[in-house]
Amino acid sequence: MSISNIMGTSRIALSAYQTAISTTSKNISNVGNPDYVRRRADLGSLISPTSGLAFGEEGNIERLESGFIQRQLWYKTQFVGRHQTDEMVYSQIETVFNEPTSSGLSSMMGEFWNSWNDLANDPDSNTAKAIVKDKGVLLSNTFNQLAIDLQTMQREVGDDVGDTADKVNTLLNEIKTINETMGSGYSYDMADARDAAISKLSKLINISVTENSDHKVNITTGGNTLVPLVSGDFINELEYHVPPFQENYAVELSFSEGGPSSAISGGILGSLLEAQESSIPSYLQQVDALAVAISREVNEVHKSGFNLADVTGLDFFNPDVSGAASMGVHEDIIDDPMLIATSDAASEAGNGNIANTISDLQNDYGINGIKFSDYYNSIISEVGSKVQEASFLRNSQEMVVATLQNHRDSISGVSLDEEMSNLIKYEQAYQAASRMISVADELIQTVLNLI
Amino acid sequence: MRITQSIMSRNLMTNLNINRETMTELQNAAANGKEVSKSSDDPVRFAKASRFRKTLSQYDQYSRNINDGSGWVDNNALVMNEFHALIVDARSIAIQGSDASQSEETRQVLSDRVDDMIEESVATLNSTYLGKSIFSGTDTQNMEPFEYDGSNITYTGNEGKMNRRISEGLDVEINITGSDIESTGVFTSLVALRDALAVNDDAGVADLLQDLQDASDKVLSLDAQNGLVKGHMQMTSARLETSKVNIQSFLSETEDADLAEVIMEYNGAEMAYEAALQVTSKALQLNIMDFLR
Repeated sequence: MSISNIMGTSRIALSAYQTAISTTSKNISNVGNPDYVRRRADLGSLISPTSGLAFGEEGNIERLESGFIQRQLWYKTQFVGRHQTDEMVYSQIETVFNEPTSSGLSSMMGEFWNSWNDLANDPDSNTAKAIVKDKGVLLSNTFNQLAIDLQTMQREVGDDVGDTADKVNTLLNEIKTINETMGSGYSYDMADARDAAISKLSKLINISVTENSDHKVNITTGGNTLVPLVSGDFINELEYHVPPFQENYAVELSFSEGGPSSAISGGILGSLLEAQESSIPSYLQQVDALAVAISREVNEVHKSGFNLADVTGLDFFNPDVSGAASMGVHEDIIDDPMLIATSDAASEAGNGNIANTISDLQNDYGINGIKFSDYYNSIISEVGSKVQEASFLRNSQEMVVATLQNHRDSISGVSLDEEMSNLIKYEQAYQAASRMISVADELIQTVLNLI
Repeated sequence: MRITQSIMSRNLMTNLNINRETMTELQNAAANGKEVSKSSDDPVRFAKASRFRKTLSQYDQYSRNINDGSGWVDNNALVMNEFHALIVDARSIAIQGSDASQSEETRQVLSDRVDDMIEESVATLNSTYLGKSIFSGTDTQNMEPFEYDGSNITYTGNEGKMNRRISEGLDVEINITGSDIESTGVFTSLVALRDALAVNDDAGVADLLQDLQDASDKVLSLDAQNGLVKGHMQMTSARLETSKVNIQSFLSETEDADLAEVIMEYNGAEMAYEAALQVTSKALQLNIMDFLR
C-alpha cells in the first residue's frame, strides 16, 4: 500500500460523492414533477468498479422504474378519462332535458292535455281555443328546442373528437421521435419525457404499452383486435372527417395506416365517440318518436271532430312530422284557433267530446304500448342513471388510479426526507474524503522532510 | 410503504375533496329543500316523483272540471225550481177551475193566466248560463230551444248530453235536455189545461189534475237526478282533495330533504372537513429542513 494509493482512492471517493450529490440535487429539483423517476447513485460501482470503469449514467446511476405498476397505471388511466367525460356528457344531456322545471317537456305536456279538458268544459269559447293553440305551440317549441339542443351538443362533441384526435397525434409523434433517438443515445431524461407523453396519451385513449430491450416502446390500442399506434419508428395517426353542416353531424375517425376505429373504446376519445355516434342520437331518436306519436294520435282524434263551422277532417299538428325538430301546430289552426274541433257530431256547439278524447290521450298507451308521460320519464330516468353510473365509475376508477399512483410514487417518487438525509450523508463523506487527501498530503510532506 | 411528499399531498387532497363533495351535496339539499332535485340524484325516486306530479296536475284539472260542472248543475237546480213552482201554481189554478161552482168567466180568466204561465215557463226554460243555452242539449248556441206559438210548445234543441270528466275514466252528465222536460208531459198538460179552461170544461180540468201531478212529480225527479249528479261530484271532489293531500305527502317523502337530518349531517361533514384541514395544514408544515441546522 502506497501513500499515493490513499490519494487515488480518496480522489475516486470525491468524484463518487460528487456524482451522488449531483444526483440528489437532480432529485430534489424534480420533487414536484409527476413524471420524474427518481435516480440513485450506485456508490458500489462508483467507488469500486468491478469490471473496469463503467462510464455514463446508465452504469453508475440507477433509474428506479416501477415497471408493471407504471404500465398498469397507463392501462387504467383510460377509465378515468372515459368515465369523467361520460359523466360530463350525460350531465349535459340531463341539463338539456331541464327536468323538473315549469319549462320542461313534462309540464308542457301536462298543460297541453289539461288545456283540452278546459276546452271540453267550454267548447264554443274563443279563449279556450286560443289557449289550446298556445299550449300546442309551446309544446312544439319545447320539442323543437330539445332537438336543436341535442343536435348542437352532438356537433360540439364532434368538434371535441377532432381536437382530441389532434392531441393524440401530437403525442404519438413525440413518442415516435423519442423512439428513433433511443437506439443511438438512451438517456434517463429522454425516458422521462417519453413516459410523460405516454401518461398524457393514456388519458385520451385506451392503450397498452410494452418496452423492448433497446428501450423503444410499442403502443397499441383496442381490445380484441389490437391496432398498433407506435412501434419503433412506425406511426399510425388518427384521421378525421368533419361532415358538411347539413348532413349527419357525427365526425368520422379512421387510422392513417388502417385498423377499425371501433378499437378506440376508452379514454376521453372513446367516450366522445360513443356520445356522438350512439348516445346522443339515441336520445334524439326517442324524442323524435315521442313528437311523431303525439302529433299522430292528436291528429287522428282531431280529424274525426267537428268545429263550430261544422268543418271536419282537420289536422291539429302538422301531419308531415318526421321528428321533434319539425313538430308544430298546423298553420291554419295558428291563423284561426276557432278551427279547432271539439265536437264528435255536427251542429253541437256544446259538445266537447272530441276535446275530452284528446285530453284522454295522455292516459292512452300511445307509444310502444306505454303512456307518453311514462315514455318520456323513462328517457329522463335513463339519463339520470347514466350520470349516476358514470359518476360512480369515475369515483372508483379515480381511487384505483390514485392507489396505483401512490404505488408508483412509492418506488419512483422523490422523498425530500430521504434526499435531505442522503445529502448530509454524502456531504459528510465528501468532507471526509477531502480530509483524507490533505492527510495523505501531510504524510507525503513528512516523508519528503525525511530527506 | 415508502411515503413521498406527492403521496401525502395526493391523499390529503383526495380526503379534502371527498369532504367538500359531501358538504356541497348537503348544502344543495338544504338550500332547495330537496334531496332529489334532478334525475341523476336518484333516478328511481325521480321517476316516482314525476308520476306523482303528473297525477297531481291531472287531479287539479279534475277539480277544475268539477267546479265548472257544479256551476251548471246548481244553475239547473235553480231554473228547475222556478219551473216547478210554475207547475204547482198551474195545478192550484186547475183545482180552482175544476170547482163546478166557478163561472165561465172565471175559467176564461184562469185560462189566460195559464197561457201567461206557459209563456213564463218557456222564458224560464230558455235561460242561459255563461252565454250558453242550458236546456238545448249540446246545441248550446240555440238560445231559444223552446218555442211557443200561442197554441203549442215545440223543442228545437237536441238530446245531446254534456259530459264533465270528474275522475279518470269517469264522466258525469251535467245537463237536462229539453227532451227530458218534454217527456214529463208537462207541456201537454199545461196546454190541455189552458184549452179545457177556455172551453169551460170543468170535468176535463178535473181529469187533468192527476196529469199535472204526474208531470210535477217527473219534473221533481229530473231535479232529483240533477241533485244526484251534484252529490256525485261533491263526493268525487272530496275524494280528489284527500288523494291530493296524500299524493303531496308521498311526493314530499319521495323528493324532499329532511332538513333536521340534513343540518345534522352537514354539521358532521363540517367537523370532518375541519379536522381534515387541520391535519392537512399540520402535515404539510412538517419539513425536514426545519430540523436541520
